[in-house]
This record gives sequence, structure tokens and C-alpha cells, in this order.
Amino acid sequence: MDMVPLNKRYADLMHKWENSEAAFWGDMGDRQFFSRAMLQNRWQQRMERLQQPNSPFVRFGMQTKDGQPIGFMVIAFIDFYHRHAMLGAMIGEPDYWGGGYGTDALLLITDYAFGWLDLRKLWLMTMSLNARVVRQMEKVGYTLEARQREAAWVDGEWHDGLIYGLLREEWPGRETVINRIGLRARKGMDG
Amino acid sequence: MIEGLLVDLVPYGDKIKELEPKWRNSEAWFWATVGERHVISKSSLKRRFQEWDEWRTQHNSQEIYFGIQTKDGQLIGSISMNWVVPHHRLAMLGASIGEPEYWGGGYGTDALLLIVDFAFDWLDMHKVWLATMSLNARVVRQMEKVGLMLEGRQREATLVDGEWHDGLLYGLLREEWPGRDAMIKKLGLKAKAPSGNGRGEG
Repeated sequence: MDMVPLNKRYADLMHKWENSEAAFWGDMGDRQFFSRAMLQNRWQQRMERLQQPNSPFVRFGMQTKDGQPIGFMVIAFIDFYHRHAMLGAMIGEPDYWGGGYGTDALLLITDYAFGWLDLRKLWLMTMSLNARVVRQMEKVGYTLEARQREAAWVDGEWHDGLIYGLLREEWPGRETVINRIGLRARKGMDG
Repeated sequence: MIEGLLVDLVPYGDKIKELEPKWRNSEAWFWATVGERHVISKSSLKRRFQEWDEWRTQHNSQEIYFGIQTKDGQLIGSISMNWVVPHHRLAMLGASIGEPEYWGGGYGTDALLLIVDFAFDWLDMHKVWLATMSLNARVVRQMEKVGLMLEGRQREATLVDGEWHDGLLYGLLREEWPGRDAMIKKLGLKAKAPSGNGRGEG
């Protein structure tokens, strides 16, 4: 997995991703419908915002080693005063769920946020139903800091919202975590 | 206008926007922003309000802002649902009393009861929640009194006077809310006696 600039390829894929099950997980169970026009409009606004000085957002595309765009990540609500930020991510292509791609991206962006942006704390939200993310948080070492009871309405039931946090002093660095969880590069497609 | 015992909730209008530069450059905003000390000019705040109004119009925003006004007509602060998620029927609350002489006198609590009741009874929300910092003893005490549950502690989320303090998240579910009248009784909240001169200019 590489993190790449968000370009037009990603803009064109948003319509597929945002109307799929990936968005269901990304939005804590909220199934929204997006027209191409709505997404183009939103894309344009986001890109303009990224260009403002001190933008509190940093966005990346996720691309596999053979060049396929599979999702995106965002460092959102960067608080330059308290030096924390929220992470968000979506893998739009279900084929790449559970194969370590998202975890690889999370390690990259965590390292970038601490090492390059010099942030002190990262946090993110998910819902209790999202077993894949809960497992990932435990593996990577984010701490469960809040359980917002019944904060998400999903398929006719209330589920808790979960907030995870990681302090910089708890981060052993990307290399160490890669070794610990045994993350490995895939063999090249053409051998 | 939503009428309470000590305060009323009024539309967030131009009068409040004129008071905000004073409030936002004072200690009130330090508490409201979990420990930031803002320095903001009148003109840049004015521009920010304009941008905000435009954004709200364009995005059909679901946020609701009220001014907090005492019974003798003084504007003392604001209270809001500043993040509303209709699908989850979930609203985040925010509040600030800009005038320090109204801290600790039940004014903020009265406003909180009004907006919580409004959120559950009128907007049909399922849950309200809010964030503060561990240093804010007044809010922590208020939460215990009013019955919002501590749901999370975001470790070292705020830098205040050179030290890291935790962020606290509180939540209240509709089924836990006994209603405003019951809460007023429980807290013993009472209207102030009128100041005597008939029109409040005591």
C-alpha cells in the first residue's frame, strides 16, 4: 500500500465507493445516497479547503503496489493548538478488506502524523458493530477511550460509538509495529 | 423564545454577535474551547460569522444556536446543538456563559435543561452528548447534578497552562431523561425574585 495524492482517478471512484457497503462502515451505519453531482461538488469544496493556509485536513489516496486505487484516508480536524487530530479512512473495494491493506495505511498515516506533522495525539471513531476495526485497533495499539452508548442507529438497532486514541509516546514507530504484527509485502504480480 | 426559570433561550441574532468579541477574548472562551486562549479581532470575527451564515445556508445545516437571556433581558451567553446527525438522532451540545458574574448561579444549568428538553421533546433526538476538559470542575459538577453520564476520557487531549489534561465526554439517552420539571424539582432550581423596581433596573 502506498499513500498517494488524491487525484481525478479518486474523484471518479467516489460515486462507486460512497454508495456501497464501504460507506456504511465509514459512516457508522448511515446509508446515504450520493449523486455524481453532489460528490463532484463536495470534492471541489474539499480540494479548495485543502489549499487554504493552515488547512485542518490532510487527504491521501490509498493505492496498492500494482497501482490500483482502493480507498482514501484523511487526517481531519487537526487542532494545531492541542496538537491532536482525527483519522478517517475508507477502503472502497471490499476485495481489500481484511488483507492488511488498511492496517498498512494506518501505520503509514500514524507515522506521518507523529513524525512529520509533529502531532501529539491521534483519535478515531467507529461503531461497536465494526469488528474488523475493533480488532485492528487492538492489534495496532490504540486505546479505547470512550464508549458513547447507543450513538449509532444501524439496521433497526442502537449500537455504541467507540472512540480510540493513541498518544505519541505510546507509538513505538512503524517498523516495530510491522515486526510485531508480522505485516509483509505481497509478492510482485509478475514474479 | 423558550422560557425557563432564570433564563430564556432566544434566537442567536445580531445583538449576540456584537457581544461575542468581548466573550471570545475573555476567560469564558478559555473554558468553552477547552483551554485555548483566543485573541480575535472584531472584524475577523465578523467575517467568520458571515462565512458561517453562508455555509449554513448552502448546506441546509441542522445546527441550532440560541442566545441565553436573563429574565431582565440581558444577553449572557449562548447554547447550541452544534453537531446534529439526523440519521442517528444524535446531537452534540455546546454552551458558553460570556459574563462571569452569571457563573455558578444556576443560569447555565437552567439553559441546559431547556435545550435538553427541546432536543428530546421537540426534535425527537435519541441522545445528546457534550465534551469538556477534566480541569472544568464547574461543568463536571453540573453533569453529575443533571445526570449526564461520563462515557469517555480522552487522555491528554488538551494543553492548558503548560500541562496536558484529559478531555471528558458525557452522554444522556432519552430514556434516562426524567423531564425538565422533574429535574428542576430534584435540583431545587428556583426563579429569582424580581429586583423590585418593576422593570428590572435595580
